[in-house]
Amino acid sequence: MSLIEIDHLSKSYGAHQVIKDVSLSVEAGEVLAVIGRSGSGKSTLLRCLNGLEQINGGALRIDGRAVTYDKRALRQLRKRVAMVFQSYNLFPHMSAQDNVALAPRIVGKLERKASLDIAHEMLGRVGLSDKHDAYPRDLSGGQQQRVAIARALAVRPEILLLDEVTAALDPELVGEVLKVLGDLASEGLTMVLVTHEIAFARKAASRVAFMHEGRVHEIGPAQDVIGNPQTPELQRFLASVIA
Amino acid sequence: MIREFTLNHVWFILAGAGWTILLTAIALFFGSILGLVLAILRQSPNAILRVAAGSLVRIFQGVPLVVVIFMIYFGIAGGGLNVSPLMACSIGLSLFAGAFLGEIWRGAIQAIPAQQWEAADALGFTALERLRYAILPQAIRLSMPATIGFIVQLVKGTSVASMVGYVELMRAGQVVNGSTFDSFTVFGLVALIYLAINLPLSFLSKRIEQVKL
Repeated sequence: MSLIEIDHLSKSYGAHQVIKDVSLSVEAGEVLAVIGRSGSGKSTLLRCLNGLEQINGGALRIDGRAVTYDKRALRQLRKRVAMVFQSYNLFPHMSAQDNVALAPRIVGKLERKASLDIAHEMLGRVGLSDKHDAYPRDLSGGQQQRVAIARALAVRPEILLLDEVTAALDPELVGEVLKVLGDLASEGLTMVLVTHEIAFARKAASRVAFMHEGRVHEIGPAQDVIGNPQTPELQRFLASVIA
Repeated sequence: MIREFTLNHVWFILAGAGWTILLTAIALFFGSILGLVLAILRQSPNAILRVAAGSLVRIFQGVPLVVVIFMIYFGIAGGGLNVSPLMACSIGLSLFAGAFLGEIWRGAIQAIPAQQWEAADALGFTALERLRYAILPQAIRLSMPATIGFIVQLVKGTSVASMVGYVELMRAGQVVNGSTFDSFTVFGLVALIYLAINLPLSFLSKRIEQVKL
């Protein structure tokens, strides 16, 4: 049994079908990179995985359990499947450590002290042990995104979803975030990341899925999919992003 | 008999100012609770709650405060219940404050970007936790200038209480004027006291606006 099983999944906004009959699975410890043009449905697919979007057809199972949308099930799901966003979305009224400690305290029901211990541990993992008390406004984009990764890790999820987490960063700040992601991948955390960083996908991902117009066009080992694209759509896409 | 304007009159007017502040505090306390409830209900997924809260806001924003207070004071008294001026004014002003604060806070809550709501969702928060920890702290800060601006309106609004005989600052001025006929001095003093209450609020608002979120 795979950790994530996506089975003939479809998703529409009104009459517009964004995801069309997608099936794939992700094993525990695997890093799946999803690439494709804007509007190809890759972010929507990611958002389905933690219930931010409800699926319209097919099935979605995390660790064998079908995803449902009642309150309690969603809370449990989101403890296991955490997410990092393109624009960080840190809470601006809280320091870095309070941002990270919030979910362990509220959702994990820990004492403040215990939740702060977790925050310090997670900020250490992303290399920000010196920024416990800094507010988001005082941090660079790269640092904010690392705090956001620490915040997502603080509930000790089994799966980390990353939605174009380097797309909003200045080019010189991308490296520090990718390094953190590379470390997490080598520690065996299961990750699904939507990215435009083709070189990173090739290096850090175990598999790559290429999405085009709501379907998975190609999927396979990163080296093969990126190094030896089979369909003209992927060839054109790679030519346009690498050129 | 016309009396000289004396220090005793000043004390009497200052005592009235105390009642003005008390009335403001009561209206602010109950109005804040009502306002918060209204602001949240106006975004409820339940259409009935949303419409009910919206209607309440529109009614108390649309009807003059003095009419509301007259309805409570004379209207309910006409029904045989004894309502004191303080009680009538407290209820009327609380409804008035609730409607306006509710609207100010609704706007502030809606101004918090969708990504913030989503970030809270992704952490597994319930709708209430999302409001309590992620949205309201930001919305309250965002709404501070408008909220304090409304408190200034509320302080001035309490002068309506003078019309049902509640001796707050305005009524105290009228009483003293009735015996001294020194209108310029009396109402000049009343005006200065209103200013003394409100100016610090305005400065506070200015300060808060400059604080970065």
